[in-house]
Amino acid sequence: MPRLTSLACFALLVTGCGAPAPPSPARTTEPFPPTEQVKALRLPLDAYSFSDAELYTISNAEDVLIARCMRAKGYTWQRINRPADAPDLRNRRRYGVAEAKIAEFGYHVPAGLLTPISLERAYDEQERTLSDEAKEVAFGADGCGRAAAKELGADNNADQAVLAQTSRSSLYDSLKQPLVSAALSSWRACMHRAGFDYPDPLAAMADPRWSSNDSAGPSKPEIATATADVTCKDNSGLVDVWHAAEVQYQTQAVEQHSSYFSGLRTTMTKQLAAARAVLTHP
Amino acid sequence: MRRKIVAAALIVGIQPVLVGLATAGPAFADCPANTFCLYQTHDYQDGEYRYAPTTTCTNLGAGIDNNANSMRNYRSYRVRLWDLPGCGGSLIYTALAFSYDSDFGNNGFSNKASSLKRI
Repeated sequence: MPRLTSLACFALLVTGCGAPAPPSPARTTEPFPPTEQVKALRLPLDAYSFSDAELYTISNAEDVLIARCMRAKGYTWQRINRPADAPDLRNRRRYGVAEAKIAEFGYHVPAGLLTPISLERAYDEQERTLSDEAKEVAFGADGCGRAAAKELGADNNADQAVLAQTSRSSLYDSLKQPLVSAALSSWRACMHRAGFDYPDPLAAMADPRWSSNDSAGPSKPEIATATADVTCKDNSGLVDVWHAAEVQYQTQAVEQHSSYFSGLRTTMTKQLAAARAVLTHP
Repeated sequence: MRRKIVAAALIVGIQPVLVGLATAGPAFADCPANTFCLYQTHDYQDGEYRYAPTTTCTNLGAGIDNNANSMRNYRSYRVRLWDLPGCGGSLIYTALAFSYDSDFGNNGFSNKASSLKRI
């Protein structure tokens, strides 16, 4: 049964039973290929915070600088080749669980969904092979990691307040938009027929029963709720309508605070340029 | 000010343990190397919650859920925080590698985080 197989893999990965992986991860098959709907969940505010690919680019550059610093102090630092072409799926869980295959894990996050498994293994391998002394040299307050981050402009972060507040208000305020409200009523009725009563998908995801014991993994009621949640989203068209309302909301917000958002992008561009320069001339 | 330190072993789930009481110190006095720490109050005050973010999403437990106001990330990777459990809802914060932030309030993140994941 596919679901049981997936859950078994999930349990193994969570408990760290996988075989050690090489420090530079090879690209592996995507274990949870996103649906076309999820791939299309791009939002105007996405342009003003780093994607995973951009973060990985900066991290790869930091690795170059850390390795140089560690070597000067007599230590070895295994560089990790993070996927700088990772797809941008940052909004995959913005509206809760939206994919039937992911609902098999309830509202829990299976290993490999948000970070490539090969990268997870490389992180674990790096930690496993570093001595305590080397960790202090790398991660300590005045360590090589901190120096690398500063060299790449980590201390020059722009004020994120408007971005964070707009992202959050966009998600919640758009629920009141008439088309979203209608789809939400349809979702709510569908969930009620399935035996579940929640005001919206965010409340379903935040049900404290799902997070009372992380180590136990998803319960049968949790999986049943998530599965109904996805079915009802599909039946009501809620995700597409909600996303469209957010696009409208955020477009207006970016126009309203255009100088602020362009300033954010300028800072990001400088940080990325610094990282790419290190990678080009390591 | 008295302060509690809560360690969370996250590979097999959150196991908060009261490991000591300490007075608040300078910026780097507490959170150990190779650890991600969240604090209930700005300037790294009150409860310190230690994490080793791993392969899956970590839901913040009682005491720090919707109550994080500063952080130190002494890890080699970014840590993202979301406003819902299960790494869902609005992505509210990305802690840079080897970074610290004394006040989430400066960036509109006060008392918002409910889950985290290394990226």
